[in-house]
Amino acid sequence: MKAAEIQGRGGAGFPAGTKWGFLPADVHPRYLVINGDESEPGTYKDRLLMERDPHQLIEGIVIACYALNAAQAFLYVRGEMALAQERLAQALNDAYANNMVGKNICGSTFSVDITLTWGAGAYIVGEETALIESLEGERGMPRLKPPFFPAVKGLYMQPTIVNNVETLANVPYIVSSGGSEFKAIGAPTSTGMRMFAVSGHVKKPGVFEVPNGVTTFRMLFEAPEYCGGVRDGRNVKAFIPGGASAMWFFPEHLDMALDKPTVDKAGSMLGSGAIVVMDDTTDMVAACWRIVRFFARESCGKCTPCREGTTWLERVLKRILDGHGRPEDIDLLMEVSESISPGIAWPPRQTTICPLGPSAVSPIASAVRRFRHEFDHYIAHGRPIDGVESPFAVAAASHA
Amino acid sequence: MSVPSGPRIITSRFDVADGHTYAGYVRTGGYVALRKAVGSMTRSRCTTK
Repeated sequence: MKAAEIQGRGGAGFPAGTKWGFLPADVHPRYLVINGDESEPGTYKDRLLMERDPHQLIEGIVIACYALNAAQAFLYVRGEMALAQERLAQALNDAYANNMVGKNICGSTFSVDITLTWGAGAYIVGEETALIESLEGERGMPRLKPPFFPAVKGLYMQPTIVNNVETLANVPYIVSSGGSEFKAIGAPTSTGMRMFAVSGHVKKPGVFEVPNGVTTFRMLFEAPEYCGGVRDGRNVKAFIPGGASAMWFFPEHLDMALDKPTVDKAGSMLGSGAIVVMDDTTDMVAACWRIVRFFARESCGKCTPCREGTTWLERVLKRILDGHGRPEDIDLLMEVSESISPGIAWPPRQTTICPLGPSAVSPIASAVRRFRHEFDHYIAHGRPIDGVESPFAVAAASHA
Repeated sequence: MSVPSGPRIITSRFDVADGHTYAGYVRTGGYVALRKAVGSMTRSRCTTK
C-alpha cells in the first residue's frame, strides 16, 4: 500500500498506506472500520462498488485486516442503499461459507470477522468519528480531535483504522500486481485509477474510472467515452470538482488535471469524487441555496456556529430567492460564513469540530465571489437575471 | 478528443452479469490476492508493497 502511494478515496485524500502505519504496535484489540456511508450530494461511486462487486470489497477488507493484524472489521453502509445491503449480506455469507472470511482463512492461521451495520440516514456519520459513535450505538456526532484520533482512540477507545470503500476495493489489485505497477498508472502525485461520479448538465452522467492525475475535467465532461458533452451544446458556467463541500470551479479550470495537489493548490478539492456540472442556464443563487439547505438540514447540532449558522444561511438565501432580499443580505451571508469558517479561505479554517459547517460556506463563497451580480439582481428585482432557469420562477414572478 | 487510457481496476466486473456473486467473482480472478497474502506474504509486506 505504501509503494502504491494510493490516496484515500473518501474525501481527505490521505495516503492509505501511511494511515495504516499510524496504529500503535501491540495494542489489541484493534479494528478496521469501512465507511460506506456515502451521502454527499452527487456522490454515488461507492454504492455502485458495493452493488456490482461486493466480493472485491470483502477481499480488500480481509487483506487489510491481515496487514493490520486486526481480527474484527465493521462495514457501515448507508441506510438507504437497499441493494448494496442485500448484495453485501449475501456476499458475506458466501465468503464465510467458502472460508474467505472467518476462522483460519484459506487454511492459514489468520482469522477475521466482518460485521455489517446499516446507517439510519444521517450524512454526518460519513465523518469518521461520528461513524464510530454511531457504531457504538450513540447518536452520530463527531468527536474532538485531539484526543480522539481513531488510530489511537477509535472504536471502543481502541486503535481503529477507518477506510473508504473505493480505497479498499483497490487492495486486491495492489496485492496481486504490486504497488509499483499501481503507482505507474496515472500521475506520480495521484496514482492509480480513480472513480468519479459526474452529474448535472452533461449528456451522459455516470460513474467513470479514469487514470488519476492525468485526465482533465474537460476530457471527463466532453469525451464520448465519458459524459459526451454539456447538454444541448451549452457552455459550462461552473462545476463542483469534488463534492458539495468543495469550492466551485469555473471554465478556466476545465483543462486542469484531476490531480489532488493541483486541485488543492487551485483552491478546492477532489474530495469524494463527486463532480456536478452547471451550464450557463443555471440560477447560481438557487444552486447555492440547494446545497446550503442540505448542510443546514444535516447539521448534527453539536457545534453552535454550524447549527445556528447553516440555518441562518439557508434562511437568508431563501429570502433572497423569494424576492424579499435586503441590500445588506450579501454582507450578512459573508458575516455568518466568517463565523463558521474564519477567513473563508481554502483549506478552510473552522470554529466547529468537524468540516460540515465550513462545507456550507463553500457554495456561498464561490457563488457570491463569482456571481455577485446575480445576487444583486435578485435583491433589486425579486427575480433572477435573464437567461437562467429559475426553479422559483413562479414565486419570483409574483414579486417582479 | 483523445483521453489517457488505463486498466479498469475496480470496475472490471461492472459489465459481468454475475460479477456480484461468489461464483462470478472467483471465475474472474477473485480471491487470488487474498490467497497470496495470507499464504505467502508477511503482514508488513502487505503494508509496504
